[in-house]
Amino acid sequence: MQLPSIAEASRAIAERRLSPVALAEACLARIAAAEPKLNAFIKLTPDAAMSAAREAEADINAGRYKGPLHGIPFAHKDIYATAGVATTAHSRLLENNVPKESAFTVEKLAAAGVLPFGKLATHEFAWGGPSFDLPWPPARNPWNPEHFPGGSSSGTGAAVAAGFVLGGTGSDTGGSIRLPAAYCGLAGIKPTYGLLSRYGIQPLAFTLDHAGPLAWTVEDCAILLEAMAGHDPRDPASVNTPSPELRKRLDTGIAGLRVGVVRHFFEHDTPIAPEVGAAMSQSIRVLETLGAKVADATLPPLQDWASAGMLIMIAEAYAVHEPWVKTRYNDYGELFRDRVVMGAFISSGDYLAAVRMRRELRTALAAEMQKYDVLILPTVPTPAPRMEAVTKYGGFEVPNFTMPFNVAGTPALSICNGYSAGGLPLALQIVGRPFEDATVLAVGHTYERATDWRSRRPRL
Amino acid sequence: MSPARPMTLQELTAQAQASGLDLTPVQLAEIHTGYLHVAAMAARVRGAGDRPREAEPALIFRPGFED
Repeated sequence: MQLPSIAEASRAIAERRLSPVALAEACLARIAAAEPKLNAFIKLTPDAAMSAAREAEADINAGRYKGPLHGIPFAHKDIYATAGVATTAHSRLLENNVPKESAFTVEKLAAAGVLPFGKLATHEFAWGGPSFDLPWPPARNPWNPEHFPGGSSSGTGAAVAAGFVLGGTGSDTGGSIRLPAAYCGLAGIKPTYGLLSRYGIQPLAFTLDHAGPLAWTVEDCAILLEAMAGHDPRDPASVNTPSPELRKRLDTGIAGLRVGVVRHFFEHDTPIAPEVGAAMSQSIRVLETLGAKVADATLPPLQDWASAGMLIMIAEAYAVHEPWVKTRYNDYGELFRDRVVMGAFISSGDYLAAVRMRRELRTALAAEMQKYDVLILPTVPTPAPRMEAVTKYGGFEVPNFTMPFNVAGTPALSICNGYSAGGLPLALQIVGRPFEDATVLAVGHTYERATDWRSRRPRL
Repeated sequence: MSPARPMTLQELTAQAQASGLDLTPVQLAEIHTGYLHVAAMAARVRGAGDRPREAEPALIFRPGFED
């Protein structure tokens, strides 16, 4: 079976040209063939998936079609609570954790009709890394299993790129949706802070954590984000606004749209690979051809965003993990524990200085975004590195391009904008104003439709 | 206040013990290499601009029980 996007599959399912049972069987066959090389899953639930597929098929045949996610193979990052199904955060500390209640977004997606294929690998507690000292191996990149899939939503990136499922959930505290989307050649959106409830998702850093989807296309992300959104009073950050109509806005075009290129981030603050620079230049030309007005934008130095974001992340993560750090240090994997312990060595003054700087950075961003409808920049400075090249403190040493928009809480989308000479994906990041997620998705969708990067899949 | 200079390995070891952390010398030495990056980030956010002493952080308490 040719691998469809969610939008393509849902049209075929709605028109009864595609059977959810046949689609689920095709995905399970791909998993059987390639999962041993990729380690995308912590727990595969084929019986639940097939049972749901049969139920979806019966419902659809009886005229009870739920919408574009009905009968779509799907899986969750293993920090999303799933009632009755182990939720481990890829950690020995939660190896036997079976929640009684599902996360808000898990319930929303189940109500929309997705087929539950299981739980996906993550970096430990969404901040570890490609660790080899945990009960499960790290996920690998389907484009080349010797390479890093990104993280922390590593299993989601691998599973969606491999076509094991058509979409999956991720979480993003400093880039953990956008990084695997970039390295695995997917679309992944960190929506505006507060748009999606985090209830039932293992916290890493309360004021930086965002839930969100990864999928093959931007249109698929819009479908998923619409289904996942909604007010939830159990998450104090959840906003009480009408659910966004994202899919309707996708085809409105970008003629006249003002696009700011945050050029100093990637030409001065953090160096990028020449291939990334060439893809960026080509992307700018595509957007100009589509009618966008492109100019350079200026934000505070990337290191300011990285320092404020990282200190907030360390302090808040330590608050979550302190009891276990003191009593079960060696039950964590080395990468996570030797990072989160930094919270013991920073002061309240350091944390408050970071949070004060956050206000200043957000003010600067808001001022610059009066001139632009969206900002663009690369998602990552290089194609996916080899697994062994990812170091414990690399994220402390070199500022990344994703943390600024966790600090700001603005929507940020990563899409594929080409391939390296070695066949690895490259990625473009599109950032919008708060609650203008629809604009970000429309730009990404328009770019995707104008290019042919979606015609290439990894060879497993 | 944060120290005027980053902690030495010996000072970090003492703070770890005072914080109730049970870490081996090998672990402490490794952690200290990462800590030096964190200390540089702390110095950067504290030293940025001419922020007034009474500046509010980004997150403030909102009166009312709607949260």
